[in-house]
Amino acid sequence: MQHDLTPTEMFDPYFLQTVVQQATELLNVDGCGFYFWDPAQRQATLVAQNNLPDIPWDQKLPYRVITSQKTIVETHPHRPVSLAVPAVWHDDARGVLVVTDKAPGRVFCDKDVKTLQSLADLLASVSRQTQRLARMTAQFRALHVIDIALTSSLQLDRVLDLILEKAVELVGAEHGSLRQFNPKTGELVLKTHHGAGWTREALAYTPRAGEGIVHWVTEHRRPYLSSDVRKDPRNVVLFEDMRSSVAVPLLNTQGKEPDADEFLGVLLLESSRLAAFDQQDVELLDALAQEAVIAIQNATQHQKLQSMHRKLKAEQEKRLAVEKWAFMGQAATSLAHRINNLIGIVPASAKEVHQALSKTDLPKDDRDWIEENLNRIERNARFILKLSDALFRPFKETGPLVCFDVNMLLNKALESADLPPTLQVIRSYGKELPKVESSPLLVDIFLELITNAKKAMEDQSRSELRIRSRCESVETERWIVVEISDTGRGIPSTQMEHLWDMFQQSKDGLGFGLWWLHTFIERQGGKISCTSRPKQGATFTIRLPGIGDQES
Amino acid sequence: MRGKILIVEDYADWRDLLSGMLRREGHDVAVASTLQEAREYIQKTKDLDLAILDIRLVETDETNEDGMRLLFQIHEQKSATRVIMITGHGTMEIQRKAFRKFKTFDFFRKEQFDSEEFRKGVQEAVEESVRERR
Repeated sequence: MQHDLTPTEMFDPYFLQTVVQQATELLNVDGCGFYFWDPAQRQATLVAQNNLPDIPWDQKLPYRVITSQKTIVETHPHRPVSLAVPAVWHDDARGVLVVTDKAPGRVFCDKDVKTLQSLADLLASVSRQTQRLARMTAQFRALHVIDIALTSSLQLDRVLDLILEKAVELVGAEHGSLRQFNPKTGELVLKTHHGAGWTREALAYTPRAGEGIVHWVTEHRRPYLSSDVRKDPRNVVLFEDMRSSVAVPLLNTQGKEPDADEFLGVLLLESSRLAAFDQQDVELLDALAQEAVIAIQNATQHQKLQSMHRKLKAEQEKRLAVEKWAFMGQAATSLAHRINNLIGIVPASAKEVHQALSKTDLPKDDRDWIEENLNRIERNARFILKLSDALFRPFKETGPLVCFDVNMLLNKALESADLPPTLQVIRSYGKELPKVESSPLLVDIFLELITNAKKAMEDQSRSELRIRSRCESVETERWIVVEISDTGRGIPSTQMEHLWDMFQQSKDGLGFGLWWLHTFIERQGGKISCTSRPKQGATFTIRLPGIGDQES
Repeated sequence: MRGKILIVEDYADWRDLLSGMLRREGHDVAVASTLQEAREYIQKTKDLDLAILDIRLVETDETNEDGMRLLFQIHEQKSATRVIMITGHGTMEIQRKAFRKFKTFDFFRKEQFDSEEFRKGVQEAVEESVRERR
């Protein structure tokens, strides 16, 4: 409830002028005036007058009329007689209407008093209507502003902030909060708040079930209105000086059975004044609560769509990746088969020549020359076979996918790695990790990383192998993250850029190692990354998609 | 001991190398390059000691199972005949299946082909087969 309208907002000046003229004529007096009463300042101000060159009555007269709310006739032996009546609407004083007459012996009869009182009542009634209109206009404006925000913004927090701001403004509250109901936890989560004194404690406060006014509203799903909350034992005091309280539920009633309302939250407003809110405020807050419901629904819908879109996109990417890998797998198998057939025969044939040669009589020079060339042919053919094997390794069909407990695989890899006793292994495994679905070769990946780490620490004074596993949730997806860190030489920054490329020649390999790891992990739908600083070791991080529930 | 051996291999060079090797050892060697040829030969030959099969007979055989099926057929029809599998692109899984399900006698990979081991394997298979037939 608010009264802070100025005299000109409350009363049209022409209307006031007409009333004071009417009073002068109807009561047949010399002059008339109307005082506007400002309840906040407790002050009466003359805002309209007819034929009053000076004020003949006592200056305190309007104040006395307002405080007594009674008609007062003021007579003095040598001064004009005055009649003052209060303009009151349901105990709410709006002003004082005064008439005066200097005719000697003038007396105001009952009829005069009634006439003047009816004019004063008319003024009060008009002021009441004006005030209601002003209030409704402000409400419409606020709803309009919120509607614009609703249709132009999908940012839930922004819209809820605005709704609370307007609610506070319209009902003249000092404190306000909007809480959203979380159906999973049953908690009323603070979404937005208004007013001073929201300490960290107050912000962190989440009402427990059955506690406070917000829970009363949650349970009963109807508005709460109290003119003095101190008398309500259900009240939980967050702000000491609050007296009045009004709260409405956020109910989604659209297209549903009346008893199947979806409860979304509570809008609560408080004031330090007693009886600061009325039924009209409840109605207004109900309308605002509906706006909040729409905002929450819009945002939920939007989030659902977004998450659906992301899910579809991820699924599509996954499907494409599977197709890509299947295609590459077929091509690789075919090619490997062909190379093995074509080149595999070379060492076998060379061996036959060696054998046949051993049974043949030849000059030593010629024999040496033939054998030297045969060896060359054999050696190079074997190298091509090795290359082909390394190249096709990540594409090889390794049979059906298997569900693995990553921690178990890490332990298995550690066992196979044959680590020296001087190397300290620190394991910190996440508990009850979801399983991963992968090719059985995954254990080889871990083994390769552990072996690489071992090699990197061979000439180091401190050798510490740290293996961590954990689960990370990104929206609905769960990722198993494995980190393998060493305290070895580290990788020079110049090498980091091309770390995963083919032919990054290691000391004793073909240069396929990390390329293979990278390609293999990608094939499992995972990711591998590396951080390293020279002389400070390296950390390889593998992320693999986790499957199902933790129990599965 | 000399045996009667069938080599089923679609790659002519491998067919020639293996048959050449075994003929030089004194075996009686027949060759087939397709499944059909192999079946026909097996049907009409009673005392076959050993069949050497390439698992993947046809380049486009994605299931890798043509040779496997033939292996199974031989095992069903001619219990005395031994089978040695060879492959150009063998996974552990195929290898295990050949041994466990189809009871192959030996298994060789072309990319790591060891002719001495092969000769030994052939010799043992022939000896077993002959022994069983007596």
